[in-house]
Amino acid sequence: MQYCNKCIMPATRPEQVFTDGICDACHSAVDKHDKIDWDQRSVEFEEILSKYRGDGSRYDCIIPVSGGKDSCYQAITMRDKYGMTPLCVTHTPCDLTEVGLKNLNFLRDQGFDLIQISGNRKSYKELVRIGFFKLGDCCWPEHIGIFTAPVRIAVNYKIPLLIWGENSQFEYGGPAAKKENNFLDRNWLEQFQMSGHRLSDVVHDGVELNSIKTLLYPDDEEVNEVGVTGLFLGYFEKWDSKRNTDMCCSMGWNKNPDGPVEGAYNDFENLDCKWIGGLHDYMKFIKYGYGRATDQLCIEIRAGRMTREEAVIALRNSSEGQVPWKYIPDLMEYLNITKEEFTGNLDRFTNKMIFERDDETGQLIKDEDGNLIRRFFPG
Amino acid sequence: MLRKRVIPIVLLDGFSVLKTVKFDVRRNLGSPVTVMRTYNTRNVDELVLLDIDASKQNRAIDKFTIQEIAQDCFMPLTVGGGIRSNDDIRELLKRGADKVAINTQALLKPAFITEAAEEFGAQCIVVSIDVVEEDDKFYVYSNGTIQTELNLLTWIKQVEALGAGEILINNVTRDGSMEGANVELADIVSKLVSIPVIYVGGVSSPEDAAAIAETNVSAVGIASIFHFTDATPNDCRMAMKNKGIPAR
Repeated sequence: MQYCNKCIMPATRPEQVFTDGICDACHSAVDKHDKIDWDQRSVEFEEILSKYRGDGSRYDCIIPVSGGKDSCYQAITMRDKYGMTPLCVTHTPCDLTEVGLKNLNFLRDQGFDLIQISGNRKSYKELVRIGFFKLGDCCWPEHIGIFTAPVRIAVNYKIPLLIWGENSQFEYGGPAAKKENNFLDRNWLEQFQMSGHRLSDVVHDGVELNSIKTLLYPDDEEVNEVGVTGLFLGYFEKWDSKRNTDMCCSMGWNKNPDGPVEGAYNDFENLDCKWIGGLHDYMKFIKYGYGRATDQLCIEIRAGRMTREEAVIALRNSSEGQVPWKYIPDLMEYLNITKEEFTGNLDRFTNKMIFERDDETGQLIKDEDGNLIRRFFPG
Repeated sequence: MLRKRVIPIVLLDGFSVLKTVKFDVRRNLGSPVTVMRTYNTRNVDELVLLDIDASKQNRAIDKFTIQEIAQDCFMPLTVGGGIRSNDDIRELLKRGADKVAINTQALLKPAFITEAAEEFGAQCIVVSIDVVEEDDKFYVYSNGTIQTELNLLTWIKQVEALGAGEILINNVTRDGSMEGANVELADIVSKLVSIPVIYVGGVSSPEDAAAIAETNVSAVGIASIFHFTDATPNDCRMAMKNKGIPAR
């Protein structure tokens, strides 16, 4: 399994492209630090914003928020640095954590209005089931809702401008044509957020489209009538997750009270949903052989805050790859499945090339704690 | 007239599903199990799974990955990648493949097609042929180069004569472009032989798939528009039906 020579990302990461032994995201990091003319981009941004900026009597942009450090930074920055009047829109995750709720309240305490879109739990649960059993991603509907709910509000409230965070294809790797993109649209959602499944597919599993309206992207006509434009803030100013965290913390935003989320390296990402941090990232691990700690350590390397050697050691000391049991009982209860069904499904999604297996039967080999044994590790 | 099939083409690099452009630029699309389960849901006619690095890396497609996929795959499954011997074929059929696709080894040793067809039956042996377009002509492509000494149409006739049960034509020039399939190529090949022909390469929309289905091909293979747009196999079948072409 190939790992990037600069960071510790493997080539199994979806959408990652390697050139000369270096992953896309590390190439982007060079552009980000040395090549991009950020002053020019800032001028460009001001030109765009001036067309939308109001006098404060109405909302002039929408910030899609989870309550995480990045979206709180986006809201605060758009208001305080750029003089906009944001309306924050959040899509309720699969199962909101206590700290997630606190951080949404933090945003309201900072003076932001917040609209919370929560789909009905009956159909949402069926989509979690499809995500878990068919796509190997227990938070599938969450990924969709985050991107459809704000656009739905944009259309209904006639607020054309949406400010998203970083362009993940630029920051973390993706196809060339999408890296230089400064906007997000429906096709972006289909290409990168949906694991190749489409909402039209859920009908085959008995979920009616009429019952998941909050997840349906508004049709082209509605989008065009309002002139919906979704821009990446990370295209116009240099993205820095640590800066975002530091700023939010200094204002009273909450890190994870129990330290790093299971499988993670740091304690300030993926805090809002019980299953996005632990289980979703673990399912990524069994499919691709890397998890959240790798993601976070790569960000540290690309930001110049850590060497590759330090990251490898930190990865070894992290809990990445350990089954995140903390919130798994909640999921089993929610989906009404047994532990055998749960574990059986994980085994089915485990990439047979990446982990130790019996050469005769193909059976996965696990350690005494039930964790898989990696065949590959960044060296 | 037989119903025309719509076949998603799933490429693997040993670890992950990927999609190529002109057999060169690659996009990694993640887990083969995820992709299979989505196509299972969509009730597609058939699935083709090809490990495009197996031959180059001197190995066969991973049998346990196939076993995992075949275990709850409702669709007929064609598997290819690094198949060199009847033993390789036997192993894959044992793990749940319904047919195998042979490419490199058929070029290296054409008699292998006959050996395989005799042991497993012609219906089980798909010969896959990569084709490039140049100056309005078509050529066989293998190992990163145009095989100028081998005439495409002669090779196709030979493959049929050697006992292949089906031919998969993969248009390298249009691979991953989503700019439109080559109807002429599909037409020429499907008229040339009496065994079923699957055309793959460049399909831009369900309507484009229907245009290919209007030729004598028995199936249209598609990847990019299923991965990257909202088009589904069902949309392709609807487009075919709208043209009066029988589809499931």
